[in-house]
Order: sequence, then C-alpha cells, then structure tokens
Amino acid sequence: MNEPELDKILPRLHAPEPSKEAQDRALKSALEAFDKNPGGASQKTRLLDIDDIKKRLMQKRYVFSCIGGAALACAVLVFFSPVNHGFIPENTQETLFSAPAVSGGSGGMASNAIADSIVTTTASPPSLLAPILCLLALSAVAFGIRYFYNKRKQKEKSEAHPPGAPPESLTHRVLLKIIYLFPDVVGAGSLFTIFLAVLRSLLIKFNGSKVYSIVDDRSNPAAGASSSHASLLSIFYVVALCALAVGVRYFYRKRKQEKNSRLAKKD
Amino acid sequence: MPGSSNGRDIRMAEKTDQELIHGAQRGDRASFSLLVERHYRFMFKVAWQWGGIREDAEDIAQEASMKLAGHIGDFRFESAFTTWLYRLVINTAKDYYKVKNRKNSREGQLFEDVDYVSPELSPEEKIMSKDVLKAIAELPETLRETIILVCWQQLSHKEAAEALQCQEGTISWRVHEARKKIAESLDMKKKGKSYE
Repeated sequence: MNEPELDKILPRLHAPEPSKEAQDRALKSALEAFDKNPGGASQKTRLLDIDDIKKRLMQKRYVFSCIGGAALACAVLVFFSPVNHGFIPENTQETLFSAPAVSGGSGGMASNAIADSIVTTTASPPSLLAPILCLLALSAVAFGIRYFYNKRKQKEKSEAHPPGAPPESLTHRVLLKIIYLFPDVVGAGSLFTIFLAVLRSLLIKFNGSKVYSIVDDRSNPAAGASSSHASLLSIFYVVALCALAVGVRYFYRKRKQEKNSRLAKKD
Repeated sequence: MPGSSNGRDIRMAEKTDQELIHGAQRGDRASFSLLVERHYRFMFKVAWQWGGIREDAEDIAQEASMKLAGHIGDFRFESAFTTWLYRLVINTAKDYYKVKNRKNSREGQLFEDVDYVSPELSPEEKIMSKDVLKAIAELPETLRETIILVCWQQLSHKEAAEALQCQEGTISWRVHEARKKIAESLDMKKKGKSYE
C-alpha cells in the first residue's frame, strides 16, 4: 500500500459515537475514583508506612524467596561440608581417634601423620567461599535466564499479539513462575550464606575457636561422627523456618480477611 | 439559585484544559468532572481505533477515566494534555487486552461499526477500508500504536514520539514497517480472493 492511499483512507474512517449510558457510567466511576484520591496524587509519592512494609513482606514472592533461599543455602552448605563428601572419610576419622592409642609402631606413626594432617585441615573452620561462589554463580545464571527471557518476551509481545489471541497454556505459566521465582530464591540463598559467613567470622573474631562447635559442628573433629545429626538438625531448622513463615503468612491473611469482612459489614 | 448555577456552569465551560487540570490537581471535583466529559469522546475514539470493538472501547474509556482520576496529579505540563492522554489510553487498552486475552471472554468482529465519513466511497473502497483496518489490527503493538497516532490521528512524528516516549527516527521507521506489513497483508488477501 502506498503512502497517500493509506493516509487518504484512514482519516475518512471515523469511530462510532459512544453511548450516553457508557459515558455516564465512565464519569460516575471516574468521580468515585477521584473522591477516593482527590487531586490524583500518585501512590508512588506517598511515603511507605509500617502497614505497607508488612503487606509487601507478606507477598507470596518474598515469603517463597526467603524459605526457598534458606533451604537452598542449607542444602548447599550440607553438600559442601567436608565430612559428608569424602574430605574426611569415616574410616579415617576412626583412625584419627584411635591413633593416639597406638604408639611406637610404624602404623601408628602413619596414623599419627594422617591425624596431624587432618587435624590441621579440620582445626581451621571450613571455608564458606565455595558455597557462596557456587550460589553466586547459580544466581548469575538464573538472573541471566530471566533477563533474556524477558527480552524475548518483550520482542514477541511487540511482534504480534492482536486482540483475541489464545490464552497461555498451564505448562507455560508454570515455567514462567519458575523462571521468575528461581532467581529470587537463589539470590536469597546467596545472601543467607553470605550472612552466615559474616556472622561466623564475627563470632570467631570475638570468641576464638570455641565457636566452631556453635557455628558448624562438623568442623570440630569430636563432632565429626555426628555429621548425620548435624544434617538432620539443619533440615529440621529449614522445616521449622518454612512452617514459621507459612504460619505467619496464613495468620496475616486470615486477619486481613477478617478485617475486610468487618469493613464490608459496616458498609 | 438556578441562575447562579447556570452562570457557574458557563464559567466552568469556558475554562481551558490547563485551568481544569490545575483545578483537578487541587482536588476540585467540578473541574475534574468537566475534564472527563470534555475528553471522554477522545478516549473512546483512541480505544476503538486500538481494539476495533465498541463495547471494549467503552470499557477501556471507562478504565482510562478512572486512571485519569488517580494520575492527574502526575501530569507536569511538560507536554500537551492530549499527548499524555494518548499514552494513558493506549496503556489502559494494552492492559485491558492482556487480561481479556487471558480470560478469553468476549469475542467480536473487529471494526464492524466503522462510520464512513465520505458517502462517495465506492463499495470496493469500503471493502478495502475494512481490509486495511483488519490489517492494522493484526499489526504488532508498537507498529499499531504508531500507525494509529500518525496516520489516523494525524499527529506529527514529533508528537507521536512524545506520546510513545521514543525517538522521532523510531517513529519514522515504525511507520515505514507498518506500511510494508499492511501492504503485504492486503496483497495476501487479494491473492486469496483471486484463488477463490
């Protein structure tokens, strides 16, 4: 189609007249909206009060991110813990504790040498650098995926979506949720691990080596045997945290619903 | 007193858009009411050009009026009011169709109730006009909004760039692309008809 043709046709096509009822309805709802917010002051300029902050924190996205992040952080810490993953094999630990009993023999010497080397490795607290780096890398990948997905979606949206396009499928929506939620979860996990590392280094700084057993039982050779207990304990902590978060959210929503129904009754 | 009320109405009606906006931003209900009344037809027209269905256009115009109530305080007189209003209505229309497409609620024939201004248009020209409108409705969002503002609302490229918050060069490119796509769509329809 050449330019003059399109420019000639379009201005000659006029929209139909809107109905009087529709106009009155629009005016009425606009005035109602105006009465609620006279002057049309933007919501963005209003300062956040404590209720707004509470409301935002109780959003599904933040609750899921916190729970998921904590769970992921625990899982990664358990995965990177030296005891569970062959850094200190179970039989070596037995050697370690039985070694002092054997004296004089060459086997005893060897056991002592292993014990010394293991004591040197386990006496210093296990580094949290590896889990942090791993989580940060995962976050970068997750955020990258989300970024490129958003870009692609924007492009698709600008390409063809005429009115009346078919709705999105359930699988697509679930995938979308995962793509959007996973970066938040991994990000929260990274933050959680960094916080743990900072907390541990502070505790070590102020309390010396005593804190190893508080912060990470697995770093203490005496506690090495109870690594499975430590894992169970961390799982218990995560489950407790999840239950707490879900409970808080449940009671918050219930209270909000009650408040709304009271207001509706008043109206 | 009815006389004084009439006098006040006349005084209000004589006010410019700028005075009405200032009044509405101060919280004056009458100024806002007159502003909506004055621009409702315009909002409806843009909404109809965007979606092509009368009922949808009425809903969009209503939502846009409500949005106007919530955002009139954001208008900073940095551009023409109508330019700002174009943006508001087009954004409302996009949101509306996003929800509607998800719910897949109302279906309708696009541009059924178009009002031909020139009665001298031949039946062939009328059919062609409908094809053109359908081709516009099938355009991607960015191209569609540009072609509506530039070719239908007769805005200059500069005004359209202000309304769509992009560069003038982008508008020129979009108009060129939209024309190309419309031409392709019309060619395909012609070919389809000739095969029949």
